[in-house]
Amino acid sequence: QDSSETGASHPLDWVELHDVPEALRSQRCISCEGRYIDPLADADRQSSPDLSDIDARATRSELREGIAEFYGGVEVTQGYRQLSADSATLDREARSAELRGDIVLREPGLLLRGDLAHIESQSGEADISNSEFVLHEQHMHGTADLLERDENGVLHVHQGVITYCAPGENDWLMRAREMKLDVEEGLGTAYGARIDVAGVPLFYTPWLQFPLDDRRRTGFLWPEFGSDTQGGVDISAPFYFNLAPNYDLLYAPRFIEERGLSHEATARFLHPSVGMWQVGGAYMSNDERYKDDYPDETSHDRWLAIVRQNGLFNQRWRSRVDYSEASDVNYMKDLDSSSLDSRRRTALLQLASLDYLGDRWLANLDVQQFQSLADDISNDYKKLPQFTLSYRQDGTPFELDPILLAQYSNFDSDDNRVTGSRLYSEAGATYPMQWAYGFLTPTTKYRYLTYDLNDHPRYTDHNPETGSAMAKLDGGLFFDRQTRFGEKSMLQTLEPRLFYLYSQYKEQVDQPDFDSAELTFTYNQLFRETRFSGRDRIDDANQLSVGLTTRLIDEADGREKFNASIGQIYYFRDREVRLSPNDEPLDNSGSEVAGELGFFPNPSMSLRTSLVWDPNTDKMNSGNFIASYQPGGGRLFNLGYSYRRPLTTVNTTQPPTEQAHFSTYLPLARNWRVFGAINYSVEANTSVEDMFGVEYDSCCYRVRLLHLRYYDTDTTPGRNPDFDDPQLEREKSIQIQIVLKGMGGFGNRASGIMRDMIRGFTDSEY
Amino acid sequence: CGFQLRGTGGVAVSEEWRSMYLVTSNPNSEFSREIRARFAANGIQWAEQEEDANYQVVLGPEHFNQRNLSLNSEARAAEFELTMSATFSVRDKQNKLVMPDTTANVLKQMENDPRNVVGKAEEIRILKSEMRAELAQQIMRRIAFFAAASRDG
Amino acid sequence: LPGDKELPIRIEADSALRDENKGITQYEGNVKLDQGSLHIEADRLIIQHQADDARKIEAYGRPAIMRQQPDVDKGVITARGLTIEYFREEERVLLTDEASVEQDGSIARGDVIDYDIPNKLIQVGPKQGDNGSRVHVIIPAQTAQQVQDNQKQDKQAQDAAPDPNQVADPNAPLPAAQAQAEAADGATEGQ
Repeated sequence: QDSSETGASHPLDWVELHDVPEALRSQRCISCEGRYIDPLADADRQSSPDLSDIDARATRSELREGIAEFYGGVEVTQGYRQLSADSATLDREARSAELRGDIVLREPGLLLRGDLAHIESQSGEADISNSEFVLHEQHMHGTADLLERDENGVLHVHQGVITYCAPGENDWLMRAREMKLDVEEGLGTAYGARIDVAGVPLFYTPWLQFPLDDRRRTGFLWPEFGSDTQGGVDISAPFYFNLAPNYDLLYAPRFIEERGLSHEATARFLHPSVGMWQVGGAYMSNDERYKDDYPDETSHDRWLAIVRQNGLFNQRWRSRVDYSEASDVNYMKDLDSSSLDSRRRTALLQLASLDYLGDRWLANLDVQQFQSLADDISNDYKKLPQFTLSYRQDGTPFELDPILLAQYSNFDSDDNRVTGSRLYSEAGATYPMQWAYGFLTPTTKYRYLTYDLNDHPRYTDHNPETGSAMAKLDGGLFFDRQTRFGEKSMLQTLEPRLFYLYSQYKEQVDQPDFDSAELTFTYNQLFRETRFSGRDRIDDANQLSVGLTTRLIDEADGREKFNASIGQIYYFRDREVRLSPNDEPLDNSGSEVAGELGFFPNPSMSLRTSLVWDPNTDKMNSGNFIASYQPGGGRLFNLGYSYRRPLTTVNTTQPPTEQAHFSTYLPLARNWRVFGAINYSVEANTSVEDMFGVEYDSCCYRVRLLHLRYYDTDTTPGRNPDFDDPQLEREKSIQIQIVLKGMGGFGNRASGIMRDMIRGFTDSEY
Repeated sequence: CGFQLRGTGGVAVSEEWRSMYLVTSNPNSEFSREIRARFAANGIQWAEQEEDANYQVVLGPEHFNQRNLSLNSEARAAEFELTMSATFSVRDKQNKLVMPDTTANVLKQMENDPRNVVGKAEEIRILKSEMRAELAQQIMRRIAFFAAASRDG
Repeated sequence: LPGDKELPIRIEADSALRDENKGITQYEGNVKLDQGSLHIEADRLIIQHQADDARKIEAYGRPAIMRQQPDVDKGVITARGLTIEYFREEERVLLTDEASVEQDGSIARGDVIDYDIPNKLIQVGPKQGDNGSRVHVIIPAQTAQQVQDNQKQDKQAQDAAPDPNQVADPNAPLPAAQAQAEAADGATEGQ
C-alpha cells in the first residue's frame, strides 16, 4: 500500500520505462526497460535515525511502561528510516523493535521486505527472515532466508540469491551460502557461490568478490574466448583477488591451442610512501608453434615482464618506472591479443626516472633503454644515465627571465657503434613583453656541447665540442572584431605572428648522433628554435617565420568554434648542419607552407585538419584530416585521412603512406549494437586492418562478438612489400566477450581492440 | 574590415576575475607551472590561499595518449597521433560552480622512424611540452572569454 | 500521586447544580477541579457520587484536560479529549474523540484512549465499529546526552572485547589514487 507517485507501485520499487521520468532514463534503464526508483532518493541523509523521534501510526496501540504495541497497518518513521508491518512491538528501554507480517524497511538506497524482523533503532542493526531486498543504486535485488544488517550497515545475506537483472527476468543470478554486501566499501563477498545462467547452474566457486559500485574492479570475470591465426583458439579465465583496499592481484591462466598454457598475472600496490606500483608478467614454457617456427632457438619458453610505477612525494619528488622486457622479439606480435598498437611496437621502453620539482629548479635523472622487437633493427642507444638540471622560468611579463640548463648523458650501445658521454649546456635570458593587443619576446642564449667518446674507427677526435650563440625575436598582435556565424554573435580574432631566429653556424661533422632526429615539419616548427630533437646538433639558422591565426569564439560561452593557422619560414642561409655528415645542406629559400584548421560547430562534432604543402615541388608533403561526430545515445562516427611523404626517415625510398580511416559504434534497436572500423591504404587500395562486430547489451549481461583482420609486421629481409603484395597474407582474429553486468569486468581483448580502432570509444564496465 | 587591436574594445579580463587560486593535485608539475605562467602573462594574480581569491580554477591532471595514425608497408607505425587533454572548472568564493567541467584537448601528428626510437622519443618529449603550453593557452582563453561573456551576459 | 485520593477535592466553576436523587452534581463554565496532583479543566463537569464519595467524574470540553503525576519519580501525564470519564474506584480514565495522552515528551493520539492507571496501561484505538482516524504515537529521540551515555557504556563493553575485523587502513583507497596515477601513467615515451 506504499503508493509511489509514479503509477501502481511494484513491490520492489521497479518502474517500467514508460513511467520513468525523462531525466532518469539512463542508458541502462533503457536496456532494462525500467529501473528501480528509490522513494527516499532525496531524503535528508542528515536526519540519522538514532537521533530522530520515532513517529508511529497504526489502527490500535497499547502503551505500557517501556513497551508500545501496535496493530493494523503499522507505519513507523525515524529520521530517514521508514518501517511498515502488520504489527509491531517497540521496546523503549532497549530501543529495539520487533515487526511481524508484510514488513517493509526503507532507508535511502535500500529496501528490505520480509515477514518477521527485529531492529535496533540505535545502531540500525536488523535481521529479517525470508526477506526480499533491493539496493537501488547498485541495480541489484535479491532474496534471503535470513538477512542481517550489522552496526556498520553491512548486509549479511544467508542462503540468498542476488541478481542485477530486472525483476522477473532471470537471465543470470548468483546463489550463495552466505554473502556480505558492504555498500560503504563498495564490495560484495560471497561464500559457496553458484552462478546460474538462464536457470542452468554453470559455475561454482567457494569464495568470490564482486563490486557494488564502479570504484573498484573486482570479482568474477567470465572467461574470454577468441581465436587468432597467430595461435588458434585462445581462452583465458581471469581471477581477480581484491586483497585489500590498496593492493589487488589478477591471475589469468590462458590456453592457446597451437602454443600451450601461459600464466599471466598483474599485481597492483598503492601506498603514499611508495606511490602506485604495478608489477605484471606472463610465462609460457615450451611454446609449440614457436618451436616449429624457430627450431634452432635455444629456449622455447616465452615470457614478458612489466614493471610500472608512479609516485609523487610531498609534491616535490616525482618518480616513474616504465619497464617492459620480452623473452624474444616476436613475443608481442604472437601473444599480445588485446591491442593492435602494442602488437606493432618495434621497441619496448625500459625507463626509470626521478624528478625534483623545485620552485626555481627542475632536476631530472633518467635511465632509459629500449629492447628492440624487430630482428632487422638493432637496439638503440641507452642513456645510462642522463642528468638534467634546468631553471624554471615563470614568464612574468616585463621581467628578465634567465635561461639555464645543463645536461650530462652517458650513452652505451650493444652494437659496435660509438659510445661515450656528452655534456650540453645553455645560458641566456629572455625578456617577455605582453600587452592586451600583442606580445614581443626577445631571447638570446649561448649553447655549449662537448663529448668524451670512447675509441671508434669513425671518430678519431674523442672530445669534439661546439659552442654557438643564438638570438630570436618572437612577436605577434591580436586583432578582433564582432561578427556573426549563422545567427550567433561571434568574436573573430586575427593573430599575425613573426618569429626571427639567428643561430651561429658551427661545423659538427665529427659529432656522433646519440639521441637526435629531424623533427616532423608542422605549423609548430615555424616557431621552434631547432630542427632536431635530442641534443646532438646545434642548428645553424638565419630565418624569419611568418604565421597568421584566426579564431571564431562564441560570445555566449567563450567556446572556440573555429580556428585556422597558416605560415611559412623564409630562409636567409642554407642549413648546413645535418644529422649525418654526408647529407647535403638544405638550400631551399622557403620552407613548405604549413596550415592547421579546427572546426567545432557543437560539442558533439569536431573536425581537424593539417596540411604541409611544398611550393617548390607543388606537392603535398603531408596532410591529415580527422572528423568525429558523437550525436549522443552512445553513437560514434569517425572519418579520417592521412597522407605522408617520408622525408625525415632514414630510408626515404619508401612510397608515401596514404590511408583513410572510418569507424563507428552504432546502437540499433534497444539492445543491439553494431560497430566497425577500417584503415584503408589508398596507395595500395586495400584494407590494412578492418574490424566489425555486433553486441547484444541486455539489462544484466552483454555479449560481444568481434572479427578483426590485420597485416602482420613482415620482416623478411630484402623484401619491401607493399600492401598490395599478393603473398602478404592477412592475420585474422575473432574475439567473444561476455560481461555479467554488476560483477565487474575488465578491459579485455575485445574492448582493447575497440578502444584502439574506434576513436572516442570508452567501455563502461557497468 | 572592422578588425581593431584588442584591448582597444576587444576582450579584457575584468578586474573581478583577476584574482584566482589554482586547485590542482600537483602544484609543482610542469602543467600547473604552465597554467600559472600563461594566466600571469594575461594579468591574473595567483593568490596563495583559497580565501583571498575571488575565483578558484579546479584543474584535473593532464592525460597524454599516443596511438598509431597510419602504417607503412612493413605494417609498422608510419605516423603517431598524440593527444593531450585536461578537464577544468571554475568556482567562485562561495565554492559555487561558475564554469562547469570543461575539457580542453590538443591533437598533434608526427612522423615515426622505427630505426631511430631514441630520437623520436625526444621528439615526443618536445611535442608534449608544446602541447602542454597550447593546452594552458586554450584553458586561459576559454576562461577569459567565459569571464567576458558572463560579465556582459 | 498515590496519595491524591485522600486529599480534599476543590472545584471552581461559573455555576453548579446538585441533584440529590440522581446523586450527581453538574458544574458549568470553565470548571477547574484539583485534588493533590490531579487537575481537571473542562467546560462542563459532572460528578456521580454515592454517599458523599465521588465515584465517577465526567468532563466535557474543547478539549477537556486532565493532569496527574502518577508517581513521585514519574513525569506528569496530560490527557485531553472532548469527553473524559474518570472511574475513581477502578482508577481508570476513558478519553473519547480527539483524545491524546502525553508523558515525558511522548504523545499518543487516537479516537478512544483507555488509561488503566494502576497497571500503567494505555490502550489507544478507534471507536467501536468505525475505523475512524488512525492511532498516532510519537516517542522522542533520546536526547543527544542519553545517546552519549549509551555509547559510553557500549564503548566500555567494546574495549573489553576488541573488534576482530577492525582493519587498520592507513592509506588512501586504491581506486581514487589509482585514477590519478593512471593519468600520469598514460604517457608512453618510446613507441
